[in-house]
Amino acid sequence: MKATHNKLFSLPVHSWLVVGTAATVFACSGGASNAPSGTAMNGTGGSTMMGGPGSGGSTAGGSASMGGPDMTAGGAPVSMPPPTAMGTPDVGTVAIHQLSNIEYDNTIRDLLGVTMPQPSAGFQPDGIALGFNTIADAQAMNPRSVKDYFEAAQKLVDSAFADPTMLANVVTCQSAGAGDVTCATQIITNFGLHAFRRPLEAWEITQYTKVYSDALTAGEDHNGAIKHVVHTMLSAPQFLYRMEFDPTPTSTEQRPLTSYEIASRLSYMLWSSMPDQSLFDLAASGSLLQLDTLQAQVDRMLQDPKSTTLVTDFAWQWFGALRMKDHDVDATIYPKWNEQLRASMEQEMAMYFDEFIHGGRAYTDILTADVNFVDAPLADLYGMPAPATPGMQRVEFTTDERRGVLGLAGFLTHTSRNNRTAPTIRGKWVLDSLLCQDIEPPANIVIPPLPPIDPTGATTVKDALDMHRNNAACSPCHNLVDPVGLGMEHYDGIGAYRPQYENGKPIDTAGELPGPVAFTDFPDMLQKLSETPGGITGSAAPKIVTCATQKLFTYGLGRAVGPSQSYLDQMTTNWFTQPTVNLSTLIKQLVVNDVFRFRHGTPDPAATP
Amino acid sequence: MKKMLSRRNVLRGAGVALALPWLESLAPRPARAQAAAAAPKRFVFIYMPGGAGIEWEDITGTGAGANWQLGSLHEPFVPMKSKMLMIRNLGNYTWRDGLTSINGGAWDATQPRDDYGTTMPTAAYILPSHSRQPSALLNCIDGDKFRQDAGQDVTTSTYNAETADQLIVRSTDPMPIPSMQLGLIDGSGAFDGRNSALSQNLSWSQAGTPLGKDSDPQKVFDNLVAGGATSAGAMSDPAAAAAAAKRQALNQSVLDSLQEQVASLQPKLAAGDRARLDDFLTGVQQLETSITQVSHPVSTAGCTVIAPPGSPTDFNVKAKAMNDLMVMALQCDVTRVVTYMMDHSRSEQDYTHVPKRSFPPGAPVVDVGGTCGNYHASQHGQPRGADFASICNWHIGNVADLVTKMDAIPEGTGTMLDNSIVLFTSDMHHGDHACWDLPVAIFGSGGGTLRQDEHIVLPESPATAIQMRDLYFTIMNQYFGMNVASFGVDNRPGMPANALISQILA
Repeated sequence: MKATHNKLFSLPVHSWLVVGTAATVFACSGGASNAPSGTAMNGTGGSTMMGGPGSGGSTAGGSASMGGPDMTAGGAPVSMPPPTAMGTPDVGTVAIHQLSNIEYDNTIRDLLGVTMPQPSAGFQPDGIALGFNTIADAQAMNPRSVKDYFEAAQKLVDSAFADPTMLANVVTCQSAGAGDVTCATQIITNFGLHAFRRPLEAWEITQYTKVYSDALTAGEDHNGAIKHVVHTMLSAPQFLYRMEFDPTPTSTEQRPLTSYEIASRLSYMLWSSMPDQSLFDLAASGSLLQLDTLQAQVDRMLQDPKSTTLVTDFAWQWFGALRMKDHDVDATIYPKWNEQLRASMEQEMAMYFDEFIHGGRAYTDILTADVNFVDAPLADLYGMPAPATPGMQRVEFTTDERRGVLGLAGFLTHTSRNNRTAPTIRGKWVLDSLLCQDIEPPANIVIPPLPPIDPTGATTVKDALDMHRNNAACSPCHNLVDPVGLGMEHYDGIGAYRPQYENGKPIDTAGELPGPVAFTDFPDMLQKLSETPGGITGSAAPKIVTCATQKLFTYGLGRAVGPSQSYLDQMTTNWFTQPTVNLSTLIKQLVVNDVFRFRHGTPDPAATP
Repeated sequence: MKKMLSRRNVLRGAGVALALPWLESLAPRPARAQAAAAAPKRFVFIYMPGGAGIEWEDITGTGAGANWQLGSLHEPFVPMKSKMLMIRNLGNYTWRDGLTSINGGAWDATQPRDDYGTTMPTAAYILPSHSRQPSALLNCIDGDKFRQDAGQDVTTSTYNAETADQLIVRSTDPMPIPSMQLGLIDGSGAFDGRNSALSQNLSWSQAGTPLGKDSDPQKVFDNLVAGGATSAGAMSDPAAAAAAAKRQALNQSVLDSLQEQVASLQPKLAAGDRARLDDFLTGVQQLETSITQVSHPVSTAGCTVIAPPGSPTDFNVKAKAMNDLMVMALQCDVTRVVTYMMDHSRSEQDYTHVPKRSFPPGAPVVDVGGTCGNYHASQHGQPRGADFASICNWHIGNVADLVTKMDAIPEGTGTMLDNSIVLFTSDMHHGDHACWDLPVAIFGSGGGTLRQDEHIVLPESPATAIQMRDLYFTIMNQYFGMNVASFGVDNRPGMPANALISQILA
C-alpha cells in the first residue's frame, strides 16, 4: 500500500492557494478562551451514534434512533425536527456552492474523461475564507469567470468530441432523421443527470432540446448539436454551482436533503469531485438516505484513490502546506536545500497525513506519532540512516528528536523565512491548525520594525522577538504566539535539528501555552498541547479533537459553524467515544449527523421601504 | 410572481431612496457626439502593495519646475518629471464610522513616528489591514461597516462598494472591453480574518462583486484581440468570416439559453443566491456584448498589435509585457479604463528578481549587492530597509516604463499620455499600515486638466487634510465631466463634504 504513495501524491496543487485563517478568532489582549459554548442539546438535536464506525458496515440506521428525525427501516425521514427558533439547535443553511478550481478540474475529469491537465488554468483564484477554498459564501462570480467557464467549456468539448472513445461515451444514440429528437432527449437526460448531479427537471429537458435544435438550425449535424448541448451544460449555473433547492427558499423549516444532494455532499467532501455511478445508483434508489448505507459509502469512497484529495485539498489547506510549493529558501545559508528536498518534504507531509486518514491512526497521536517518511536526502537532513531502497520509506525511530506533525521538516520549513526561523509564524500556525485559535492582526498600535537579524551574527531570533514581547502594544499577541514558536527553535529554517544556535548561544525552549500552561521543553509542549481541554461539557475531548471536527465541518460543509455549534459538539463527543479516533471515523460521524443531512432556507432581508 | 430582491436592486433602490454616502448622484452621460473630435479620456490606476519606502519622502522643494527635485528612490521617474504631479498628504482615512478620537488623541493632533522619522496624525495607524486598505482604496468607504450594514458575514463576504474606475466606466461610452483589470505578481499571504478577495482586487462592480484580474500576458493579449484590436488594413478571409458567423450563432444560442435558465432558477433560490446568479447573468450579458462586437473589429489608424507575449515567468519580462499590453489596449481604443495591481496587499512573494539597493537622500542610488527577499518581511523591516525600498523602486521602474511608452505615442498636438490620467499609488503610507500621506504620483495632465511638473504639499493637519476621495471626485468631475455630488466617506467629525482639489488643477 505504501508503495503507491509516490504515485498517489503527485500533488498537482494550484499556485493560488495558501494557508488561510481559521474560523475562531479571538482578541489577544483578553487572552480570551475560544472554548465552544457548550450549548446543551435538546432532545431533537442530539444524535446518539449506534454501532462503532470501526465495525466496517455500520449497524446504525435501520431502527436506530438517530436523534432528530426518526428513521424508518427504509431510511426515509418520517418526522422533521421542529422549525428553528432562537436557542434551539439549528442545522443551518449554505449558499449555492461554486465549484472550486480543484473541484472543477476533478469534475471535468470524471464527467468527460478528459485528460487535459488542469482545465481551470487561468481561472480566477478561489475565494479563501475561514482557511478553506470551499466556503460557499466566499466565492464571487464575475464577468471574467463567466467568460473563463464559457471558453473552457468550448475547449473541453472540442477536445472530447475529437476523441472517438469520449465521443462514444457521450453520444450514445443516433438520430433517426431530421426532426427526430428522441435520441437527443435521451442523451440530454442521461448526460444532464451526471453534469447537474441530479435528474433534470422537465423545463430543463425542454430547454436543452431547444439548444439541440438551435445547433441543427445553425448547420450542425447530430454530433455537432450534442456537442453544443454539452458546451451549454458546462457553461450553466447548474453545473458550475452545487445547488440545493429548498421547497420554500425563504423558509427556515429544516428539511432533509434529497438523496442526490447527499451524494454530492459526500463526493465533494471526500473526492473534491462529482458522485460516481455507484452514488448515483444509490441516490436513485433512495438508499443513500439510510445511515448504514451512508457510512458504508464512506468506507468505500476512502478506498478509492480519488480520496487523496482529503490530503491534497483538505489537509493541505488545514495545515497550510500549499505554502511549501512557493516557499523560498536561501541555499547559501542552508546548503542541503534543493528542489529534491522540497519534493521529499511535500511527500512526507502528505504521507504523514495519510497515516491519519487512510492509515487509521488515532488523530490524538497527531502531535506525538513517532513516524517519519524519508528518502535519502530527507534521512540525511534528519540524521537518520539512508533507507536501503530508493523512494520514500516509512520509518519509526523512537530515539531521535523528532516527533509528531511539528517535527516534520516540511512544516518547519514553510513556517520559516528563507534565511532564519520565524517563531511568530510557527506559533501562529500551531495555534491555528491544531487549536483553531486564530490571532487577529494588531489593532490600534504602531508596528515597530524589527532590527535586522543576521542568522550568523550575535543576535538570535529570540533576542529580536524580545523587542516585541517587551513592547506593551505588541506583547498581548506575541506573548501568546512566540513561546510556542520558540519551543520549536531546535529546528532550523529547513527543519534540521540543532542543539544550539549557529552562533553557539543556547536554545531555551521552555515557555507557556495560552491559558497559561507552562511547558519545560519541546516534548513537554507537545504533551501540553495534546492535553489542552476542548471545553465541551460532559466530554473529555481535548482541544485538538474539537478543532479537527471544526476543520472538517468547515471544509466539508463549506460554511462557518455558526448556529450549528451544538451539532458540532455532539459530533465531537460521539467521535471521541469511538474505539478508534481517526479521521475516517470522524467523517462517518459527520455524514450521519443531522447537520450533514438537513438544511433550511433563508428569509429574504426586509424590503427596502 | 414575487419581486426579486437582488444585490443590484438593493443598490439601485437605495441609491435613489437613501442617497448612498459614497455616491449621491450621477449626471446623464456626456454627449459623446459633441466630443468626438477630442482625444479619448483614459484612466489608468496602478497599485503598488503595502506603501512606499520611506525614501519616497526625500523629494526636495515644492512648487513647479525647477523648484522641486525627485529623490533617488524615484530615479526612474526623472526623465518623466515634466509630465508628473507629486502630491503629498493625501490620506484614505475612511474606516470606523462615528469615530471622534483614537487612543485618546484628538483628530487634529499629529505625533512623531520615531521609528520612521516622520510625523503623522495620532489616529492614522489604527486597525487598517491588508484587507481593509486595498479594498477601500478606490471607493473610499469603511468596508467592514459597509458589509455589516448589508447583512453580510464580515469573515467570508467578498462584497464591497463600487469603485471609482467602474463608476467612470458606467458614465462614459461603452467600449468593446469596458475596463481591464490586470495583475503582475499574485503573492498570497494570510488574510486577516476576511475574504481573500479583499486584498487581491482593486475593482468592484456596481453589484459589489470583485472583478478579479488577469495576470497572464498571453490571456490579456487574446482578450484584446478577441475584443477587436486589429491592426489597420488587416485583410478579411471570406471562409473564416462564414465560420465565424456560424460560431457566433452557436455562441448566441448558448448565451440565450443561459439567460433563460437563470430566469427559471431564480425563483427557486433565496435572496443571496439570487444575487449570485445576478452576477452570473451580468457576465453572460457582457459576454454577449463582446461576442457581438467580434464582427466589428476596432481598427484605428494608430492601432498596433504587438507580437503575442506568451506567458513569461520572469517578472521583469512580464512587467514589460503588461505595459506593452496596456499601451496596445489604449492605443487601439479597445478600452479606456485600466486598474493594475502589481502585487497583492498581503504578499509573501520573494522578490529575488529585484537587486538590492539603497537610496540615500540627496545622493545617487547605491547597489548593495544581492537580491531582495520576502515582501511582507521587508515591509516590516527597517525604516530604510534596503529590501523594501528596492522593491518599491522596482515598482516605480515599471510605472516609468509604462508612462514613457504612452508618451511616445503622438495624439493630437501632444501624446497619448498627455491626454490620459495615470494614477500611481498604494494603500499605505509606508510599510507601517498608516493610511495617511499615501504615495501619490500622477502622470499625464488629462488633456490639460491637471498641472504638470509640480510637487504639491497639501495641508498636513488631520483636521483640514484632504483625502483620496477628493482626488477621485476631482478627476471624475473635472476630467470626465461626471457631475458627481459626493464620493466616498469621511469619518472625521461632521463628515466634511467633497471638494475639488484646486491645487492640482491647471
